[in-house]
Amino acid sequence: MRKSPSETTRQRALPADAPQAVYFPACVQTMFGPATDGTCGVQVGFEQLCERAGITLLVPTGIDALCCGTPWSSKGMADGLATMSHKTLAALRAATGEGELPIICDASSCTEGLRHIIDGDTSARPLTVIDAVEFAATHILPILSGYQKIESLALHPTCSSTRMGINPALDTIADAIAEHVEIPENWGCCAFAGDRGMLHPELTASATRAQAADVVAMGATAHASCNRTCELGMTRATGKPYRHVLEILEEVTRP
Amino acid sequence: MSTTTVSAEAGSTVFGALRAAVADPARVKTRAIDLYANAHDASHFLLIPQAVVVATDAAEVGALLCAAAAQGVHLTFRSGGTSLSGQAITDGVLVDVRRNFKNIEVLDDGLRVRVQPGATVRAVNTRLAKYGRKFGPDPASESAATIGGVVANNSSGMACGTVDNTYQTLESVVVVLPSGTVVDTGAADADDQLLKREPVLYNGLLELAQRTRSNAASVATIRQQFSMKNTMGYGVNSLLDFDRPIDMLAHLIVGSEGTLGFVAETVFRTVPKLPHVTTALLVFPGLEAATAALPALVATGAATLELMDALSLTVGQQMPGAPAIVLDLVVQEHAALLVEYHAESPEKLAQLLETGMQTVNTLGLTLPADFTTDAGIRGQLWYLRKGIIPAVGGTRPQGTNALLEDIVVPVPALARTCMELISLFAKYEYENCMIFGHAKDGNVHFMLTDDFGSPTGLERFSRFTEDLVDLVLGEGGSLKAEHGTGRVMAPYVQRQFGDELYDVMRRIKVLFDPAGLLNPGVLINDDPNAHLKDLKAIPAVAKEVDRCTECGWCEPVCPSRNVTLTPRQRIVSLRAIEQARLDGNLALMAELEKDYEYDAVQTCAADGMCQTACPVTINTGDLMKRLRRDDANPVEKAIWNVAAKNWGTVTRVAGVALNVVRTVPVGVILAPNKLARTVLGTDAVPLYSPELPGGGASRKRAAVTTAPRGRPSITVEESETSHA
Repeated sequence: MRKSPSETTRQRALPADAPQAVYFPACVQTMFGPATDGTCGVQVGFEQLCERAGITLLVPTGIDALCCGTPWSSKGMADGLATMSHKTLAALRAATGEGELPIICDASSCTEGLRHIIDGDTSARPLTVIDAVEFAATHILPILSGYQKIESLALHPTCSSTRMGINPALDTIADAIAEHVEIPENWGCCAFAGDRGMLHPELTASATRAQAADVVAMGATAHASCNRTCELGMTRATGKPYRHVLEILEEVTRP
Repeated sequence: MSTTTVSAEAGSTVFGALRAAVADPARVKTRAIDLYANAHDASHFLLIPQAVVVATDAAEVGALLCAAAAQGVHLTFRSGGTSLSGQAITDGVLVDVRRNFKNIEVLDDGLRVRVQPGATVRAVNTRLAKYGRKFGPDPASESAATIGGVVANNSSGMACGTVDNTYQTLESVVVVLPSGTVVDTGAADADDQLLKREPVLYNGLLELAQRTRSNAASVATIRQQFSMKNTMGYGVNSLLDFDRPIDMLAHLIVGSEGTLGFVAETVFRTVPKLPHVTTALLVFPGLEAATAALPALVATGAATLELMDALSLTVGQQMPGAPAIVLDLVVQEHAALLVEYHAESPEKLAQLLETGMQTVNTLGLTLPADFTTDAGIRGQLWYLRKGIIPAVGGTRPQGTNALLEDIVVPVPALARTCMELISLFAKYEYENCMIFGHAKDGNVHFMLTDDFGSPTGLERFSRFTEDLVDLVLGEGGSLKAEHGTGRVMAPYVQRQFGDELYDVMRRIKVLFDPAGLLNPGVLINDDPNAHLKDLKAIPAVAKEVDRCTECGWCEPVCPSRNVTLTPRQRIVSLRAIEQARLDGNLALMAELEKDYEYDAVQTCAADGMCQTACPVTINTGDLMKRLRRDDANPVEKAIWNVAAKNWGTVTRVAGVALNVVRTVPVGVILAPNKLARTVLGTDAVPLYSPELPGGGASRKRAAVTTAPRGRPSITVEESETSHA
């Protein structure tokens, strides 16, 4: 029986080796926990995968107070965005050794948000942000073997994964999880858009109606996306528990 | 912006009748924002409808036709709104047949497909892909163009030519006639039924067929004109090609631009999707060399031969993800042909290419021909070609409008015609007129940009058009190959086909629609200056969106498209607000602004999906976010700034709150939650719903997280950001 995330302590002795990447877990998972009780959430899942691959991650100091800035940007809150960008960029510059290490983010919208605030930052050596999905497809998938795929997976690419061009990596991960991967014919952005789906539920309801019907008709074994709030949006629309694709990958490939 | 409005009293009667015709009266929309947001299509014309009705099925359209007839108002059907000739706008009642007519039914393992008018060409092709089949017509706007418009305009495209266009691939249609009669031309007894239920139409078609067949000049004109792509006037070739009136009817509906009936459903034969494809951009020293090479290249069996002139290539260089061959070219007088060969097997493809190269090697190209099967590069080449129309429109000077011409001449006359066109551009001092298009079929497009609304702009366009008509008709060509006659060429149908065939066309309209209920002014128009009226004004509104050409490609990917507005509608509504301000119409301005806040600003997901579809990479979400910034009240702004400073606490408290919420009944939360939304606004306070999970855990970790085992080195390549 696995411990629930709140019981899990990730404290461990300081390793001898230096980290190979900076890990920026998205703040949405502090607000919104795992899809169902007893599942671990993307952060623990991704950390487990990295551990198996022998990859050492560094989570920036003060992570709980940091965010990619998207909530402020999408609400048009310029002052708040400036405040948060400043804080987060400073923490990332410190953690990455002024851009020496790449940054990995585990929510596609936040990966895109981080790239935006980095674009606006001209003062330092450019920071590099990659999405955890892309990272896992390149660096983790090759070491995973000897496991049983699940039968089918309903996949929800997000607006950000589409915009960033990482859907091929998302497909690769999905294909490693399930024998059959299906994206609904009426796929589209779920419009949950951070909290917009909670401010204007009719927006998400309208955006997801047709694809939700497709998903329900599929009757897939599992349901995955790559961004926590989109997972919430799709869960609301379909009644199926959507989880991060890497969380499911970790579970399926667990030795 | 011109608008005809009925008086309030007459309006309420008309609206009442329309509301009675549909199941849900709320689907008859008359708010100013509904009218102005929906008014625009991709053309350079603009009329403001009196009402916008979202129809659900053929029966409802029948009822709307009866109501419109009784009230003396006219109807125009609109689906994708990507048409360019002014055929999908109206000052009557606009009927949206995109939202609810989306069914696609694959028949006979993909050999045939039954489709409703609201489905996009891309959606149909997505469904057909697994059967190794595709839809015949292949317009460049396939991501947004819908079947309704494809049928209404006899759409063709890059590869299909006149062999696999709408007219050729259509098997049957379900049509709602202006009388309210619903005809399924695929039914076994359809011809008998037509005779029984619409005897005047049935016998009228027979008479017209007889009249046309017995006139040698008419037969010769039709055969010559329809040997090319041709969307001028009605498809009178139907009168020669078919013997039964029901089949004439089905094929006259093709290309009738919504003036003869409503197409509720269509069955098409599909064409094989040849899986093996090789593509190259052949770069020539000049336009003359490129067009002169056409007959030889057509003979090699090329599936596509897309022409792009020097200006097209220059514009293409500025598009995101432009192919290397274009980026590396120092464009002078160059012209290029995008050549593609399709085959069912790699061996067949190799053979085709080998033969092709024998010809290609004799053409004196500027750069060596580099055929590729690489999907990525091929995608770039096609993105370049498909994006030219809107991208060129997007580079126009502010305050000007873009007008796209679509001419066809016999292939041997194409080089000469292009040279003459360039002289005309010089004569009338039109700048930046690139020529591009489907050279294989003798069909090219060019774009004029001007302030057509100004007296000098209008005069210039009027005189240029006269010369253009003389040039194209002098070469035995057609003034509209595939974009439809619309309003822009309606005054010239008579000159192109002659008095006799024009009279036949007028008679067709009267037979189908004696009361003139459907889309008046389109295709047949007695006003010799119809093409110079109701031109769209495009006032500058915001730097993020001013280059928008209103092409509509963003609409199918927008998540708010079925609840409030699309990106195009957000932009055109803003333009309407600005135009109202310029016109001093403050009442209209206020009315539009009142609804803009929710319909446009609050319900934009700001997900940037529109940018992925936009040929000029507009992210309408960026503008909506800026408007939120300008709108945000100071208290809310300050609170969010405090939140930024204390984000750890905020996220933790939110997480704890979600855990607490889960321990009490949902009703206990919802009542105060809804009250707060009422008091503080639905755009500020989220609505809780019970499927939300509990809160999450802290993200904090010890200095370094996972235990190292060896150190695989991590190299990170900058991932592709399509619109960084």
